[in-house]
Amino acid sequence: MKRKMALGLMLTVLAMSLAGCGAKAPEAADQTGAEKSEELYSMVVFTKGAEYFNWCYAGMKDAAASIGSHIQVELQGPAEWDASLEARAVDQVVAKNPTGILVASADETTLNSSIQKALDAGIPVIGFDSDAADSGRLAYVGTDNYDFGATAARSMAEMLGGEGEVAVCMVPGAIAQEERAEGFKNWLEENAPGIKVVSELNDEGDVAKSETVCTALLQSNPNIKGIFSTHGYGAPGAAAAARTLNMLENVVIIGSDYSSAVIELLQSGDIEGTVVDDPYLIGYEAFMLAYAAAHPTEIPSANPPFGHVPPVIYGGSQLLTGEMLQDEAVLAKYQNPPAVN
Amino acid sequence: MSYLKVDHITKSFGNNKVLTDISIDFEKGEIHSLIGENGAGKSTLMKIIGGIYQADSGQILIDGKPANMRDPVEAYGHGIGIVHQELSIAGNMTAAQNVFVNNEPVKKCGFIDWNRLYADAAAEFEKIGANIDPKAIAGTLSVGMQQMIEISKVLSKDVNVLILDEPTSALSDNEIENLFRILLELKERGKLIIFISHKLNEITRISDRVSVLRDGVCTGTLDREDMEVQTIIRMMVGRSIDALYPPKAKRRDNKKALTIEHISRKGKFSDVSFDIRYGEITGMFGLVGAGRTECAFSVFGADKMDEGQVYLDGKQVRFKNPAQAIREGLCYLSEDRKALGLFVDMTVKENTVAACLKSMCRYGEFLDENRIRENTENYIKELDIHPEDCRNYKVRNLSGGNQQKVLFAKWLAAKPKILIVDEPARGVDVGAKTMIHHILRQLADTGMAVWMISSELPEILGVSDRVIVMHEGHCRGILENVGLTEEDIMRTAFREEVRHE
Amino acid sequence: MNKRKGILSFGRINFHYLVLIVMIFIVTAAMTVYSPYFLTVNNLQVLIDTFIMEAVMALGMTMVIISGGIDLTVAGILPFSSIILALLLMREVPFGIAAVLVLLAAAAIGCLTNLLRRSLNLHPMVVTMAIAAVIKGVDLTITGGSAVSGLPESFTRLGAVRILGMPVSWIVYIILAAVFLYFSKNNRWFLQVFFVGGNEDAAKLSGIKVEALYRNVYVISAVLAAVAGILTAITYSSASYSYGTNADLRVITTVAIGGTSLTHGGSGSIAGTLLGTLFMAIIYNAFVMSGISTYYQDVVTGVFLIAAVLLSEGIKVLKERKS
Repeated sequence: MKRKMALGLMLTVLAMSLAGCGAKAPEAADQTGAEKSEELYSMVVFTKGAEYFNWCYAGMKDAAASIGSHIQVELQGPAEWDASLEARAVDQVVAKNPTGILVASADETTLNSSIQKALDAGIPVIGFDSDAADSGRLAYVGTDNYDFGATAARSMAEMLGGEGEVAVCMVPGAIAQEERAEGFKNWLEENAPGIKVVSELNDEGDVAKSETVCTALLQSNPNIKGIFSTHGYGAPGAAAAARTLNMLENVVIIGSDYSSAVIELLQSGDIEGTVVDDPYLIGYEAFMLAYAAAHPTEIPSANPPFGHVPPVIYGGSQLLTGEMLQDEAVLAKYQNPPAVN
Repeated sequence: MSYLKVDHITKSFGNNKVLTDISIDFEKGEIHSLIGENGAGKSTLMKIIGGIYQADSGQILIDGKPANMRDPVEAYGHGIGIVHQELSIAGNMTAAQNVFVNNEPVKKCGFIDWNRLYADAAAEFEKIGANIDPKAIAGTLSVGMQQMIEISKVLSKDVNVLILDEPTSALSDNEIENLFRILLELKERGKLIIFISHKLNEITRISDRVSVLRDGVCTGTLDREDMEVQTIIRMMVGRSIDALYPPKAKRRDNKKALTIEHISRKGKFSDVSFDIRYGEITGMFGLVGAGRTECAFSVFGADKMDEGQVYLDGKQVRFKNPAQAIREGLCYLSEDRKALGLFVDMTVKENTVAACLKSMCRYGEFLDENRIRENTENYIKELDIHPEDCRNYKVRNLSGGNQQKVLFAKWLAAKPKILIVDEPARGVDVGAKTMIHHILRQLADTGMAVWMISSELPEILGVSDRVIVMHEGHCRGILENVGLTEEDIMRTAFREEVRHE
Repeated sequence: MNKRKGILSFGRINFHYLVLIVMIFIVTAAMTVYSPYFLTVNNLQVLIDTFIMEAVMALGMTMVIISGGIDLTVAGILPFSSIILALLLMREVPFGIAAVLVLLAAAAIGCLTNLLRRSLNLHPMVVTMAIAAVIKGVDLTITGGSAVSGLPESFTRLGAVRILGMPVSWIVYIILAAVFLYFSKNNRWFLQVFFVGGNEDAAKLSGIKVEALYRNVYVISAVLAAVAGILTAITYSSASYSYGTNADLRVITTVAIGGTSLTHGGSGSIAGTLLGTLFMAIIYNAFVMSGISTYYQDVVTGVFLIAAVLLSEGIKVLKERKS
């Protein structure tokens, strides 16, 4: 008898915990239009829970809400960086038959067959942030890294008054970073011939390594007036090197992306600026493209039966400075990233 | 008026009534033994006195007042301490730390006062006359020493009642002597000592009174003058065991099964030579540390051998691993059945086929379930393993004596020509012990060569046809067991020491 | 009452199995009510596809855990074998030969694991964790972190092959599972794994060649991880350092839910692992279907693991107490 009771109790608990899961249904956007049939859009990412993707998802949610409460959105994908797991997540999402899928691909090829399966099932797929160019996705929304580098170059030129020797800290071989460095160098060559890129350093994408190589650089060449890092850890490393050598005043440091460490260094003025792209906007636009692809109009489409969408949209990038962070609203945005549950 | 009174205690686990209306009086300043077959309820009763279990009905009275003990800490509060059969020594800590575990002397600021810890421990050891370095790592000490530590741990809490559960099962004779000396001293100091044991000779030697349990019922308490082995046995098993030991070999043709010449293993034994013969039981006597088990290990291939030759049926052999030895018909039944013999969390059926898997297979590597079941059923019947339907029981759930029988079944199933049995009757009750001795004799009578290692002199004398005497790694003599006495054997063991004096 | 989920008592009703079957039934019922897409042919296919690599590795892991060990190298071997296979194929090595070479490499890693475990006398957790880290490092160095792609057409077609309507990975798993299940029921060597896990010293004295047996279980586990790696490469027509991240934990969880004890060797079963695999595949699919937050997924997995163990152990205790 006891045994039966224990069994019954445990089963109840299980059923309840499951019902609890069920209650956490996709989030409905809070707008009118309830009479329209429901639509579900899934965003699939790798490293789910990463702040960057939370921003993308926040943009997607707001875009969905602007269309109506019949639009539901969800965030899916593995918490680990595992392309095969992400491909499985796409497969599982396809089985739910959503209206559209947004995918940031963990690598360039693994998701191809899963994305193709979705398209074959009549579900439009929009790539964002990290592209799988050969997958057949209808469109890609992301950052133009060449332009990203040019933005850094323009700011560097302004801050240095068009004169001086500068260095680039980067991880050679990483495609996005190569593009940023390329954009940086080319813009300077064309628009600010007074500024010379004299050194390209490999800091292995690591703060400590970046500090080491920047220290060596600044000691051997005191004429260096500026350092641009193509990734998030280079600027804090360069700032640490300049601080040790008491050269903070003499060197303009421009980083890429942001983190709480970068925000603090911007506020203290140790770093002059950091170039950021706009994941919120990327998420927003990617959703809009998915919606457009799922609702064909009179305009002829390059990908029938899906609606017409442009193949590539870049979300743009801008320089973030310590001055801009004095605005409470701006600071709050960077210090309080959106939470996703 | 007795000091500790167990008053109409009854205890059940589920439907299983373990103790029925037990009443025993214990006096201060006595050694009161408790004896009974495994499963008679001795340990349960002690655990109730020690506060580990609660009685279903009845009570414990101390000095005439009911004592309500809900856990061992409260039992300590009433001056009752237990030394359990399985020692609870933390092997990587010092002797002193073990004595004062969770009871360390502290300075005002709450830190452990190490100087006092070691001094107090030394004093505790002094009190019981144990020669232990308080700073020695407990795991490196002998089992006997560890037991002294355990006793000191209990005594350091200032107890009046000391309960020892099977304290001698892992001790050598010297260590047992030492333990008895300590117990007698404690008795002189007015402590009550409750002594649980299987060994009748120990009980009759040391006890002032003995209470006998059978199937959860107390069948009586004997005073010193009434303590006779036959009486106690009758009270334990409800019948008297006429032949405690089996008869000797009927027919001896002296055909050598195993000839061992000058074998040595560095630090364990050296230059040992003897032979083992078909159809007889060769006893190998030695105190703990004499190198008996080590010698068997080397012959069996479980350990290396530095020098010497081993001949099996006249053919020279040198087993690299037990698998080879078993294939040649040599089996070794370990003294430590839980650690080295049985798979306690597996079933009786699985255990009985562990050493003979190959013979249970058909089509090469696939086990024949029917053959396995048949094999198990045969041995359950043949060795009278209880309960009869235990085939799918975990071995852990059987009593010690039945576990030992399962171990026998495991090795007999391997169809040995030569069987090494190491302390075959350790930790089993008197009924099972007799049974095991008779089995050994039956095996020898069917032609098997039995090599029995034991440190119990009565067992050696009662069972063997010949006796090999080992001492400190050397073979000190091989004696025919005709009119042999305990003194003869001990004198042989200490031959060298005697000569040097 | 004292019946044990054991190799020889397989035919008997085992309480843990019953608990798992009931849990599988409840989750399936709840999901069917919740989502119209759950009980569709398409989703059931996806459900199996998404957990098939773990399912393959769980077979080997069960043996390792029963032997009293644990194998974390699987998370490194899976991507390693996919990468090596891809690189060999790109050098125009025929698939058959490439696959055999990859399996041999994995077997060598299994031998190495056992060698280190034995010679350094370290807990397998430490040894396999270290080896997994080294293999991951090698994977990263070989590929530079990006996916290996552009595999030959003849190979990528394998991903689309259907035999009796089933992809290659299913066929491989069905064969492996059947073999393991049959062997676990009455193979001599499998029973020896239980003996070694239950009491290594006693097993040695019973004439079981313990070291060879340990080596074999680690080799089997490594080879199955390599099979999973090859299947991953077939399924996705790529190979990447990122594959198999944390797969070791998912596999171990699966084995544990199946009733194989992590605390002491010598108990467990392949049948339990098969049920555990089915259960895990269903709840991972249920996570996506129900849109439940990532943050709760680990909690839910943990709750189910504890529930499974508590139910079977708790009721076993109750039964023993009653008897």
